[in-house]
Amino acid sequence: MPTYQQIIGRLQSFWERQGCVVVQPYHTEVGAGTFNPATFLRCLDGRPWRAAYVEPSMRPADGRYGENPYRLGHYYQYQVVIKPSPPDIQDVYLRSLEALGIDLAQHDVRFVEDNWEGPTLGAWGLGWEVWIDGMEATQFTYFQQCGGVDLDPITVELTYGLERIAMYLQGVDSVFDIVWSRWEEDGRPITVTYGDVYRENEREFSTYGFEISDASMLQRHFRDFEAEALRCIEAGLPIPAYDQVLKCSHTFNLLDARGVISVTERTSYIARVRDLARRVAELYLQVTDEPAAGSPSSGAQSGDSGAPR
Amino acid sequence: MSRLLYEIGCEELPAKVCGVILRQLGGDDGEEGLVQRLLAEHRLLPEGGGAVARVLVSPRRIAVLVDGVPEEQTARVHTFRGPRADVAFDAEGQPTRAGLGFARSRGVPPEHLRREVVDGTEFAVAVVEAERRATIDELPAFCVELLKAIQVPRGMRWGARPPGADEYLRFSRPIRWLVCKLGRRTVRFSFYDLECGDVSQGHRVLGAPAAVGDAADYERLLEQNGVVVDHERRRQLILNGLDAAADDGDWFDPGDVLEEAVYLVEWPTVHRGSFPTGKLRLPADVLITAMQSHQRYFPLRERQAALLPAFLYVSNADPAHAAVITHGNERVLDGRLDDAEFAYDRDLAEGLPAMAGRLHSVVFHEKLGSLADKTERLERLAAWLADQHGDTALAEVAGHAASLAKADLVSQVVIEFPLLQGTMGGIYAAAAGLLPAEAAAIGEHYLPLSATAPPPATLAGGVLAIADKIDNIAGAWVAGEKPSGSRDPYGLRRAAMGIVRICLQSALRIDVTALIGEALQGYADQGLAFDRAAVVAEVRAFIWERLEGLLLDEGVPYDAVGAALGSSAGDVPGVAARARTFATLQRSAVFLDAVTAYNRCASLAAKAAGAVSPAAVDSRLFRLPAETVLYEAWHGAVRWVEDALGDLDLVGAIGAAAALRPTVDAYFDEVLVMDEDAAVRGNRLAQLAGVTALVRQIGDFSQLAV
Repeated sequence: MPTYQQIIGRLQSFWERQGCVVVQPYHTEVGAGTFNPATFLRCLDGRPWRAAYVEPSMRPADGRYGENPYRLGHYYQYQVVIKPSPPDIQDVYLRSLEALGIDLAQHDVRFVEDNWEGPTLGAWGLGWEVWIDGMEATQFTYFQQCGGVDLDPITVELTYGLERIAMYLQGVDSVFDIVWSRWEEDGRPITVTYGDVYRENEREFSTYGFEISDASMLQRHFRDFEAEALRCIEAGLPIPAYDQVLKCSHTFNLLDARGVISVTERTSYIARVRDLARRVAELYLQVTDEPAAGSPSSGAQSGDSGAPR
Repeated sequence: MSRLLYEIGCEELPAKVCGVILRQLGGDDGEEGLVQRLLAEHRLLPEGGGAVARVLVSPRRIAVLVDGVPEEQTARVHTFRGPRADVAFDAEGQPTRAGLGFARSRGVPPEHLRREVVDGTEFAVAVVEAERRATIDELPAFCVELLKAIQVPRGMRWGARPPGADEYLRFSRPIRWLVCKLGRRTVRFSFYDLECGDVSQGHRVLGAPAAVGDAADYERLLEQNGVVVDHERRRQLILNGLDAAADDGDWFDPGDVLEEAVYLVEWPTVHRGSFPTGKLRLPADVLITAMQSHQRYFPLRERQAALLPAFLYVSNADPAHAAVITHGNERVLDGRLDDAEFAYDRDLAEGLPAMAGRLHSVVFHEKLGSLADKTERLERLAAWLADQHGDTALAEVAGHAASLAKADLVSQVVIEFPLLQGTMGGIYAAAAGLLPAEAAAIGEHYLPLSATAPPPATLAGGVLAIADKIDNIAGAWVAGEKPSGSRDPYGLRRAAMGIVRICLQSALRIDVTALIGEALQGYADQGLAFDRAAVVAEVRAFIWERLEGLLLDEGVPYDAVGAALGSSAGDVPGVAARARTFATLQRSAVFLDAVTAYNRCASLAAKAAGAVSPAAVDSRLFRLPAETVLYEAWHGAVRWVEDALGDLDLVGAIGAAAALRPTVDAYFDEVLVMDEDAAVRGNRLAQLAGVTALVRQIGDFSQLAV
């Protein structure tokens, strides 16, 4: 029975063998691995790209004070993106489940239609939820559009729900009972659980998000981040601009959790973030289309002719 | 004659798309499918018929099997007309220069020119037989065209564009392989980056890639590899499996679970799982929704009674490992039910009245206010509707229900399972101590959920449902978001149809124009501005269109519907009763009499310049006895017609109108309406307008094609 950290380790080494750049979690709060620039920005252009990473995902409104065994305001996704999507990607994905220790011959693995849409990112794709014996283990998506841009080539995104997979593999009924690590000290087994690591965080962040956060400060921050994003866009700097977009998005999530956003305002906040994401995407394409010497992708991975746009 | 196999291999297609593709390829409702059409176009159907095409769809493949495909394309002959025969041939019957030129232009030897008489003139004609290609050579074009012709609802792209291609191949999910066999022969071609060959894919776990040797062996070969290609066989296997696994219980399908399961698996087996008995304390609807909407399970109940703590699921895996897989499914459901229980208990602890207190902070629509505003409008409309129906007890029940109808929208369970809106409200209302009739009304006020689904069963539920729907419809017009074309994001056509069906079912003779006016008043009271007359007219037309559609679907002729809508009836049952009666009586003598009486009067009444008021008829201006006779007959008929219409006794009303016919006929025999004396003329026209208006309360018979 793999520990939580072993599950992550197995995925890291599996996808490393598939040629993925194993990048690290992003330094800014995000709601999902899709927001990491290793996905959002990298899927936009015509150059091949393979990356895999753990992403801490913060969704303040999903917090339950550590009282609900299935809901967390902060959890982990394991994210894989490959561009262009390879023809055998489903088989490769299934082999990654075997690498986790799931004997496919003994289980019922299904691809059940589920289409994904990220309204704040102006992004959508088609694909499935992958079920293992009825449990949703992974979101499997062929991105069609990102930042309002029609993608070419197409990136495939695999998002593993690490906690669910760990609960399944370990046979535990609460996320807080997941064994994070296990070792022996002087012959005595020592176990650290997910709850040991995160239950108090869940309680405190739920309290903060639902009861304490300063809504007027957050509203001010949103406006500041938005203005700063626009300044960066003016300056032709899509990557710093994108950081500001992420800060806007997280600030919006905090405001939403605080319950101070009406349905109407919600729509308008989402539209503002989406508009920034669209402008960043367009700028990123302009900047990356200029053949820049020493650009990060000018090396081994730029064999493809790239798609004219 | 050979068997043709064409298999399009895909990543898992959405279940709904499988059905769409099946109907497109195989035909639907007597309409010819794409397979048949393209086989004919490519001349691959045997002369005299006899080819049998089957289309089989599973999640990972679309298979077309055709028996009796000829070895070469069937013959096709074109006849081309050339110059006149006397120009094309000389006296000896030999082709002239013109004849030779024509033969050359059509690619036939001169000796193959024939003569043919068209409209009395003899022409030279060339008879050209189209090339007949071997079927095996024609199939690549057929296969490519078939693939391109399939229209999927929401196409996607994948991978990269193949070098040189301007566009992506689009399909519902990525296409990964193609197989085409004509008997034992393999049809090879390439399309985008796909190479058509003979290797198919079996079940991911129970099978392996398999080379198809002979098209005739296809289904057997796939079955050996864990795939039942024939969807109807899968359906039967699932049904048998459900019956067997249900054991002592009754399984049921809460909504398209079976249809989806058929296209979610290639090797179906059915197994039974259970959940803790303690979870049965949750409302049945919550349990069923948790099983159905997330997990696609079939719930079980005791014979015609309460739910069992068990479910059935359709597996795609090796049945030998069912125990492990069942355990996994049980754990997932258990988790979902724990979560639902958590939400349900929080909702019960808060209580419906407290939820209602939070509605002011939830926006119903940015221009139309909060859900608390909506609740006020509902209370007002429910009271008005009950009053129209003349039922004070109803007013009380509907009023209470309206005040709490929207509260469940902020409940935890509805946030988790939006489909349970209303249902949870009813449950929480009962828990909060409301009367059973009030809870029932809240529970069913979103009904009917479709054009054919059942409307609310109780009168209070019907009243609340009408109030909710007319408020949504009126609100959309007030907010400038009325439906147009295929755009109807709020489902307002369905809402209007719901109003129509509820009024019919409960015989609610509510004046539609007044109902719209009341709904708009709620928005006006909130200070919203709009063009009331225009909105009333448009919304009324919008509702009548639904009634019209419903009646036409029943088989009531178009003109009967038009005549009924042209009557004085302002309520749904009134219009419907008229249209249905006209349709039944349309060819009867009594109906013809009524229509004739009406049309004779109406055509002249229409000639009156300006408005003529029947009230202005002055019996002192009558000059001829027939005028007086008609006057008396008319006035005698008024009570008769109006009483009959009040009781929706359409046959009686039509009888009263028909009884006017002899009098009307005698009147026109005797009276020249357009008298030179303007006063006499005006008086006569006013009387005819009066008769017309009376009969028109029954229907606008001028619209009937008699």
